[in-house]
Amino acid sequence: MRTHRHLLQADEPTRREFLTRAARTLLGVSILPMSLGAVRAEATAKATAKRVIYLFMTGGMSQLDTFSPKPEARDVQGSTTVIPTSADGIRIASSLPRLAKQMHHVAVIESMNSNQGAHEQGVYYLHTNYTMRGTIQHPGLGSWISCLAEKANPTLPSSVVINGGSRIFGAGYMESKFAPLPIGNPSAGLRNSRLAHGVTEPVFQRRLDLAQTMNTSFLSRIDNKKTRSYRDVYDEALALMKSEDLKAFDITEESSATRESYGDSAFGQGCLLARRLAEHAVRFIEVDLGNWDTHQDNFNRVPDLAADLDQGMGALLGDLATRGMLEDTLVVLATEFGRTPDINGGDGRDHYPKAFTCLMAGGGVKGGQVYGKTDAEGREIAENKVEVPDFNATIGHALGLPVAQEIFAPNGRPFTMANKGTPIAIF
Amino acid sequence: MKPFAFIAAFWLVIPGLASAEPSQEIDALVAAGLKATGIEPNAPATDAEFLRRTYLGIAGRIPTADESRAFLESKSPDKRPELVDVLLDSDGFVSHQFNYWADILRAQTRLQGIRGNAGDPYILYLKESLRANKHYDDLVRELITASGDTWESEAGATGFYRRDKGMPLDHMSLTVQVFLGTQLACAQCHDHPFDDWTQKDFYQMAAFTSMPSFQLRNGVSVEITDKSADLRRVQMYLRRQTSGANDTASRAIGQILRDTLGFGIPDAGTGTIRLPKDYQYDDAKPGDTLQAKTLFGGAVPYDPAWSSRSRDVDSPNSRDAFADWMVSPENPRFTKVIVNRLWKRVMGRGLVEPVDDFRDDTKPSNPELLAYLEKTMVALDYDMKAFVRVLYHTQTYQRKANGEDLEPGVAYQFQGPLLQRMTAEQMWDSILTLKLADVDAYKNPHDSGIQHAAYAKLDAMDASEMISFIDEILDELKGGSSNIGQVYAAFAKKVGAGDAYQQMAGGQGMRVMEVAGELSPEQRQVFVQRGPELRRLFEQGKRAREVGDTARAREIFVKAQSLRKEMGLDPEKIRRLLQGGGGGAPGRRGAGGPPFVRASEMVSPAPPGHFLREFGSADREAVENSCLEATTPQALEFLNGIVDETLLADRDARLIKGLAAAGDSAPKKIEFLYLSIWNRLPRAKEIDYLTEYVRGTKEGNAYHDIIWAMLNSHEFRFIQ
Repeated sequence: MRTHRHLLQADEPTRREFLTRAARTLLGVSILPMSLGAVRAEATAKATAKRVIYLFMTGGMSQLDTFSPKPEARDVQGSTTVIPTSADGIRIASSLPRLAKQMHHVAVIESMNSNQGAHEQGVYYLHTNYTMRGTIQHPGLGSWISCLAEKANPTLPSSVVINGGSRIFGAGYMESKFAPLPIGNPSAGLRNSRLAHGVTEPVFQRRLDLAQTMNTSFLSRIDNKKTRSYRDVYDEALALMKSEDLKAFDITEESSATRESYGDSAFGQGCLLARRLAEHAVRFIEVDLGNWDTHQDNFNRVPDLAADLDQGMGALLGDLATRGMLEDTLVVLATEFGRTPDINGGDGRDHYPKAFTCLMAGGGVKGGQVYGKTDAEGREIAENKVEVPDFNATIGHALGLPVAQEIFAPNGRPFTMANKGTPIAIF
Repeated sequence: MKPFAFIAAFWLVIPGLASAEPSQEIDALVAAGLKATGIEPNAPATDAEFLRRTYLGIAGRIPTADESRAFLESKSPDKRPELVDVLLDSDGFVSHQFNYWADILRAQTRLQGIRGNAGDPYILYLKESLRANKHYDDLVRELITASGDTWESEAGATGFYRRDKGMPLDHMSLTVQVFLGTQLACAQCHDHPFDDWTQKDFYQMAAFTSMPSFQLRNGVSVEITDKSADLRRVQMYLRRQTSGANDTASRAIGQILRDTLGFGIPDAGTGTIRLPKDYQYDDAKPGDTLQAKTLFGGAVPYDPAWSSRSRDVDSPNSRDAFADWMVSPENPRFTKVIVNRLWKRVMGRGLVEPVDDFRDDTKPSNPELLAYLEKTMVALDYDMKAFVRVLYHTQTYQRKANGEDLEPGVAYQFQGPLLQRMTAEQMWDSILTLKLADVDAYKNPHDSGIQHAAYAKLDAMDASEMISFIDEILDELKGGSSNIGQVYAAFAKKVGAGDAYQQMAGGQGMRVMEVAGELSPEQRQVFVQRGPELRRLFEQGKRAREVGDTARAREIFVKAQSLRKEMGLDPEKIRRLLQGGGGGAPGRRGAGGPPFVRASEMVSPAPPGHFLREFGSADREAVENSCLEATTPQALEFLNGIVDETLLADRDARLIKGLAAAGDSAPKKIEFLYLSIWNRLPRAKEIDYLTEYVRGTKEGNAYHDIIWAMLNSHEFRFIQ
């Protein structure tokens, strides 16, 4: 057993050596690039995107009052008005003026279909590509990508979720090293990534060593997935502390003009953080915007939410395009289901998984197109139905991932990222 | 009286149970299950394991050093049942139970569509019900039959419906999920894929609680309440006033009136519902009106008298009938679900998993045990506290914890309780136990000042009385360029709410200090005005330091210092006020979390980014949404955050003061830290090693290192 005295006699290590050793001593593992061996197969397709920014509208975004209006069907349209966009023949709600200027980058997928009409189940299906079961926890998209793709930045996590609710979609049956890193408040960034005030590196080192020694008895008795997962996150935390790229998490580095352009909302600032993380080679970044469950007062509430969406996503697409990053960054807008063409007694719209709308832009996707079609009132899908697994397979396909590669859960059952979905032709 | 004598006497009065000792009967049933599967039970837990597990399980926090020592040194043969009984009657039990039920019932401080803390009456109702140990069947009945206006006194239970107002289908599927452990969510859109239920069955069920929803008038949404008609007249009057100087005032008053009188749950439950236009099955036509009908259990005959839409509580309505059916012992799932939930709460895993997905073919891991637990609950008349007391008294609970991986869906035979990570709330409340003199001293009053007072005043008025009342306020405000704050203040004064508005503006952190007499009205005023600016500076400074930009950090810090001097408040007070998150506008999302109070006394849900949320406390959007997954920010929090900032830097922290008072010898101090943090005595080897560590540490504080190391260990975060 090493003692603290031994360490105090050691030469002053460089920061990187010191933290590498710290990780090894505390956790019994060293910081190495993740290696998956058998799991990772050769990519099956040529990647058109290197990373994904996944914007999720929680609560069920009304397709009719955003990207798939039906202004000719007065009864279903209500008071929502439309504007032309930078893409020929595509009209969107007038509450989305900034996005209207970006629609030439965007593929509108108008024929989304889900079989899950309640929030928890619907959100689960979109994120994990499997329907919710009591007996297994499926990993989220971010974990699939962490598992199937090489880490592009060895010291940052592969996947980050910004503004996620309390139950983010983690590694599920996979080991927790594939879980995304959650950021609760994008303006505060990644907290506690530097030594606490007054703590020097030698003190931090000797504390880690002491913790390792004091943990020995517990570790010798209990080793299970829960305890291992804490080993993994300490590993990741110490790797992050030594990262040269911590500034990726700090949006205060951006000019105030840039920050303002994304909007003052948590969603807008989250989009800005997503862009910074994308620049630092994080593979999958999710940003959530909640409260779309407009059973009541739909025609006042949707424009409010659309204002945040419009500013955040509008700025993001513009910014990525200007920086030349849109070419290899796939931007996705998704939601758990749409809302009814019928307007209810409370001037709201109820859940409608049968036909709704999601978007994809950049990352090789051909912009300015509408994929799929619904009938005149948006009630039924008329052409090119896209089921949830098709949608998610398309994301994996853009990244060039082996979406049909089987991964085995501890119970021995095989799973694939695509879950039998087929990528859709929007490239 | 000896506790055992008490317990024996207690059991003898339970009618309908074969055994006088249900705890022993449960142990026998567990033993039978273990024997049938060839599994050996775990060895008995040590006193120290029992102590820590029981404090965390019942009181929601670790014991203090004194509490640990008292229990470990006690020679009483009955000290385990004694401790269980003491903790079940403590404030901690109420706090910990509240966190659990708030997660299940999704209780939030804010409600959709109403400004102010409109969820507070519901939260207060739940806490009072738990404190009074309201029996479970009574509690569920009160929730289902709740009626009244949001701000009416004694109408807190209406939060149950108000939480999901306008979403009767979601509300019904969640109600059935929570109380009957049955998943109907799929049937909202299509026939149930796993059970025999159709979409029509689901709508018939929803007909029981479906009720009149929103009415929209002139773009202002109001619900149907006793005051709806008066309120509409007054709103029309105010609309006519909105021109010129009084514009802001009229609008603001209109808002306050709507928030105060415009929300409530009517008594009516008509027992009918209309099918949607896109209904797609052959068993009924779109647009048909269906009558209420139960899915399983006893039939509830439809009563045409329900349809009278009467607002009289005493006239028959479908919600009363639904409550009768729900809580009936003949309901095949009502009792099963609650005993399975409480079993899981004590032992770490349900006999049926998941606890809210019972199906016709569900096989409990020990069916005889589940049946016996049901019988026990019925015999105890749904007294949840008496029920968990039985469980805590079993030998099964008192065995060593099981640390093996269990896959979901695999039957577990309870050779011991499961090793668990502390919940976010247990972890936060345990840190506070190390910090505060009395962790249960502060209780959130949940009295949403202005609205309660305004409701009490306005409820007695008719429309014309309200109009003259409003005219007086408008007159008072005339001439001045009134901002919204002034209108609120004038209104609050008029309804006798005093400085309720100011208190709301200051946030909860400020309220805590006022209650303790630590803040004068002048100081409060200063903080309300300048606090937000100061907070921004500190946040910027902290960010700059975190990213290593020390020059910028220093520059910002100097600015903050001079602002603080201008404010004339001492640094310690400022620190606490800022940590309180106060200073925001009333009702602003995320504003107003008190500084260091138990999780149950904070705003619900805790703001994103708060320690509680980092460790998986629920956003209270979905049922049981809390989460025990490990994440990287959790590790960073313990490595570089809360331990140093909240404990080691606070000379007044209970742990730091106690360490100084624990005697001069290293072994004494080490023993104190073990009793405080891991709640056991150190082994001789540990004392030797750490004494040597202290002696060999020339720079810095070796004891701080030990505290840090103990808190960064599995032995702190896991419950054995």
